[in-house]
Amino acid sequence: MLDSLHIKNFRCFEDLTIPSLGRVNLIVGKNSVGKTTLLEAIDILGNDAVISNIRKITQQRSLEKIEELFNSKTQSSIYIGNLDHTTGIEISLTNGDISVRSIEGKIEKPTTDHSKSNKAIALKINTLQELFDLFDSEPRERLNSSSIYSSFSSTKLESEEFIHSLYGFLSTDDEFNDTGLHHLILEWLRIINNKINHLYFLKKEKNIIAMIKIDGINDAIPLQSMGEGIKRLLQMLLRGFESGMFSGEYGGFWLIDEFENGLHYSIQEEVWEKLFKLAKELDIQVFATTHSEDTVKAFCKVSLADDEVDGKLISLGRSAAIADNGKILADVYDEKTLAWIVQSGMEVR
Amino acid sequence: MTDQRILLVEGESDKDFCQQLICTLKLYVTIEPETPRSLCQQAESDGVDVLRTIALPLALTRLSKKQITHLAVIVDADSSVQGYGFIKRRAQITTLLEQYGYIITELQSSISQGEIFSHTKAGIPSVGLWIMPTHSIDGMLEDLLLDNLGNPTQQSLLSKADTAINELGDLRTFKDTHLSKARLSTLLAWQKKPGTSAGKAYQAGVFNTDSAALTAFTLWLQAVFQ
Repeated sequence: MLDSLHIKNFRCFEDLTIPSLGRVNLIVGKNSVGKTTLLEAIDILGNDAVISNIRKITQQRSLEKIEELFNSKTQSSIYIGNLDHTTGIEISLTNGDISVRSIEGKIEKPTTDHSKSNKAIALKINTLQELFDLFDSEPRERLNSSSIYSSFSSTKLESEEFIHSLYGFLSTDDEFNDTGLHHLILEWLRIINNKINHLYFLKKEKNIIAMIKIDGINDAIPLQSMGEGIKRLLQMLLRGFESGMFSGEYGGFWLIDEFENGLHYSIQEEVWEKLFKLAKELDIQVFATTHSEDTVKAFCKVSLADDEVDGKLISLGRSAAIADNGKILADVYDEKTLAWIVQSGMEVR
Repeated sequence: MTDQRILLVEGESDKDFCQQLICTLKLYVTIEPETPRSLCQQAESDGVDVLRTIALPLALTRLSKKQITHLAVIVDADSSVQGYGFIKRRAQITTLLEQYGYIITELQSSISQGEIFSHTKAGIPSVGLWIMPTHSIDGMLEDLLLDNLGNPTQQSLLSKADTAINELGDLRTFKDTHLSKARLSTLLAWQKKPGTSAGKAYQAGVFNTDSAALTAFTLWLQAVFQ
């Protein structure tokens, strides 16, 4: 788990420091203040092939030049990692040469094997396309040697085909009954409808459709018919499970953008409770963003009630000081403040 | 970008009065805390401590990022006899403001107009401070209201209330520091709408809105929030 975060020169972040992190971290702030970018930074840090993640981000954001990843052209490197720089990655661009260096650190389980530390890849690359072509043509070297893994639950709903393949990938065997994952899925889906007793996938013509069975009803019905919220919940859970299954020595990151999407305020506390529990069981670190005051309040309540799992509320905002030029800053709210937020009804999103 | 105006008060009675005043002055301000303290199961005396140690620091960090655009604080001076009073309360708040980068000016002779403190860094909004009753002496909001009654009838009513309180003898259980609360509550209990709130009483003309002290207070509120 990361104990702190330092992002330097990456996209909208000139120099962002978050001095303390918990196991479950909720990030709030206005639009365009960098909430999703923060998740993207952690995604780059926590993935086995840094380059494929950079590609995904540049495509999603329609960036054309690699320089666009950098906040300032005058600075040569991007840093994403913890505050004391014992765990992180550095992306540098000098005269068209891009290099990516990983700093393996001593979080949770220190290793005496130093052979993989500070491994660097230096390449002569002029465009992003060349970079991606290069990595497609050769076996990708893993920079962090399976030390961290991250999964991303984005704001978009994945297709049912994708959810099916992710589910299949994660299931420990081909049977759909009695796997740990299957039980977990039903537990989560029952937050929305407590009569759901089965989930399976059906091939219909050329499509794959998720089907559920409900107590008292013989015929299965499409998951889709229950609305987008339940699909979103399923997707979120599978991503969480994914990060837990593939996480290595240094844990996994479960990234959730716009937690509240499709979820009614009345179930949010229960979703948070299950999320906190799962994060602990799988030993993963969660970073979620939200615009919703209900989500913030529910998070605060669950975090305060849970003595075992540390939750942190992090507010991103641009400095009002003229001399700071709109620099983005982070505040971490402590437990007393969370209690105050719940009691006073103060808006903090 | 919409403005986010926050007024931090100590407790329920201050909140009610200020809410009414804000409506009358047509200032679009949110008063914190929104939830009545009675639901929080906190002791009376916790009001200022919660404000000083949690609510105000939170508000100041948000102000520095313009997540709040205008901020003012209202607390009671309370009594020097009890270890508080105007000077001490002011010092408690200004010490915190200074830690957050605000410039604390010396007490001026025009002190009873309230104070607005600027930040050392240009761009970060100022913070207003008013210590009840008149930002110059010991006491509480109730004193500000009781000392500025609207007409002789109200004054007579108050005299009757004082007589009744004096005759309580052993029946009286409230402390001297709460005497003003008892006087104001009694006065409000005997209005045309018995038990009317301080805020509604303000609207109904129970208090002299043109008095120097109340005018100073409303001018300060307008200066902070406009």
